[in-house]
Amino acid sequence: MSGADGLRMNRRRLLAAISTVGAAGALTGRGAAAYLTDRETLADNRMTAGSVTLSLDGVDTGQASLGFTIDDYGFENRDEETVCLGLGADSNPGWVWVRACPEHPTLEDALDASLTVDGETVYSGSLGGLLGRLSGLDGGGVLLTALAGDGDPVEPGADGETCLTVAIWAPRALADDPDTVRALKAASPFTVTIDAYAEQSRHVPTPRRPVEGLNPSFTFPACEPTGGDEGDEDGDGYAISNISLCTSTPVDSTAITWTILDSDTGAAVTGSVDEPYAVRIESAEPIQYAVVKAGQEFRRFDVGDATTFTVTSTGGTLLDDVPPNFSRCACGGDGVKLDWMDGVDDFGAPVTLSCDGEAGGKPPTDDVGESSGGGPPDGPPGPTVRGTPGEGTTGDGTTGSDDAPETTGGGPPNGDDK
Amino acid sequence: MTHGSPLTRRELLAAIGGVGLLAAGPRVVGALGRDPSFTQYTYAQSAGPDLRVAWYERYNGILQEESNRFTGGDPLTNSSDAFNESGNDGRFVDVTGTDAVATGPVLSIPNAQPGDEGLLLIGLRAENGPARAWLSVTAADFAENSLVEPERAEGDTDDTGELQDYVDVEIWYDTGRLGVGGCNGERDFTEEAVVAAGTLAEVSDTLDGGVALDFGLVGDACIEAGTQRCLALRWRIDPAVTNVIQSDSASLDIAFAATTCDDTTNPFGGEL
Repeated sequence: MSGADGLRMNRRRLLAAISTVGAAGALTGRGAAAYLTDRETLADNRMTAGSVTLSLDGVDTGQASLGFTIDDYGFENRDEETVCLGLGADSNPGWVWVRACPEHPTLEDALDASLTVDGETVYSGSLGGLLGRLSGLDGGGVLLTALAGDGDPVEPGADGETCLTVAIWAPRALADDPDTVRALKAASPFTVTIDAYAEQSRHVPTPRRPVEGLNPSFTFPACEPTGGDEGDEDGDGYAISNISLCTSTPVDSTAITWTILDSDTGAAVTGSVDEPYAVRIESAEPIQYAVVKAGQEFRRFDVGDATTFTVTSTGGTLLDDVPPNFSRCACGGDGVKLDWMDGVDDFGAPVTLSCDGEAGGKPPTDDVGESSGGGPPDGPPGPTVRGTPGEGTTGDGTTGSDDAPETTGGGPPNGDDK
Repeated sequence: MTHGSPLTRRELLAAIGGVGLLAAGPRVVGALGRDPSFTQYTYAQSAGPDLRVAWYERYNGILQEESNRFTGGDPLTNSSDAFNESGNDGRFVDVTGTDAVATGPVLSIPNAQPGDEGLLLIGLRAENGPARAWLSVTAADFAENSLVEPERAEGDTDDTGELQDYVDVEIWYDTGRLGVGGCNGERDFTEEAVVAAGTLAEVSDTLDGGVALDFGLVGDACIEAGTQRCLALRWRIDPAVTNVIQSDSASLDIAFAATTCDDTTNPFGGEL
């Protein structure tokens, strides 16, 4: 025992020991090191942040592209693509939003499509309608689990995966619509891009729609095209939505006739026309110039008092700095206007413009032209309403109720992936 | 020297010498009081402060662990009564040294997410004599633990974790109002005495070198013998924190030292 050892120590050795203390203290600069202390350490504490990772066909990515090729008419010639979406095995549970945007609205409305979710067909109708539903109409998409379920958070790993199968086919009726078929061939292979976004569900009791104002952490980029008029990426540009025929003297609106032309061949189109790209005008009285609206652009055709001429969606002179509501009175003086009627697939009856000699752009003093024409007051004549899931056979409750934006509790947690 | 007194001058000197020698090795200082060679000398025991601890940990409002499980008592709750009762029943424990209970990590959060918050209440008891308590907090091991796709998308490409910069920590004297209502983990507006606050990295920078704790209500920094005081540590990850923290980790040591009341030398080596 050290106590017994201590008793055997002589004084000199003890003093030596004491001086050692002083030396040690001096070395460490802590002269008071001789004080007693006790120490308790709560050690090895650790904090590790969790993760939220998407899994699209097993890959941690936020986007999947499905390519479709359609070779023939009919459901039996459909093309099917499947993508399985979920969260990685190491991920936390989360809300998963998916979105697909309309890209070729005219074509997409002409095609038929179905969506099958884990074996259950939840949509059957036009492709345009399907994309409209998947875009959520506001571009925020839909909750993955709300497509065919209760809209709960997605559990990580393979068990929580949801497989979407999109089938696209050309309805047989399209055989009578050579314009659309031509455009379809030009756009083939058809791509449907699915964007996905996942957000932790802990502390996020209500899913936060990834659109501006509802989700401070993330918003999907806007769907393009976003405007009213439809883009068409196969070379024809936007379709004509209205034509103003301008004269120096009042013109008889009943003396105007028109013919829709095939923009490629210049030949008159027989059968129904979805969208006009070229129009031949015949008038009993000479026309000075015509102003065509296609998309958001205005084009002027100086036809030099001709009574028969052709306007197109891409020809003429592009007008810059067009004032608002220009098409309400695109003529400097007198004129008539033809508005494309979507439901009728033809121009409506020409309406008289009376611009009082003012420069184009001033609203007409007499608005009867617009109302009697029956067309939209301005701009986009409301192309085929895309994104209306009216064709859906399985009801619209899924997107309507489950991804309805609601107030979110607390702040914007941001454990997410997209 | 009479037979009645066990203390001789030699023995006394021997004791002092032993203390001094051992003190030169700071790591074993805490063990001194329990060294079997001194157990027969009561003067040696009473000379050294003996700090015992108890704790209560909550994560997102749910009790994770409490220290009474090591001594078989009723679970600690976040109240001064529970801590006082536990202390008076001798349920405060040593976590360092030969008598230490095997606690494992007190704070273990394997899956933290933005919006998470936690509370660690630590009771400090001066077991034998009054003690001045010191605190050191050291965060380390900032690990990236592989970069997940969302992190890369946020521009996080290095191999050092960022979690320590996004965990907000606040440490305060949970003494209650005039000594009533302490140890509840709620920072009463009268409990203004904050030891440190900031991100985990900032708090670690501030407290790594140790700081003297002052629980005193009227200028007496010491914990009286046989009493306990509570220190509260609250942490939180702001809901707005971005993806850069995904899968990152950090370790954290919370060390306490007790000195005698008249000892103002920082046992952790830092400045006061």
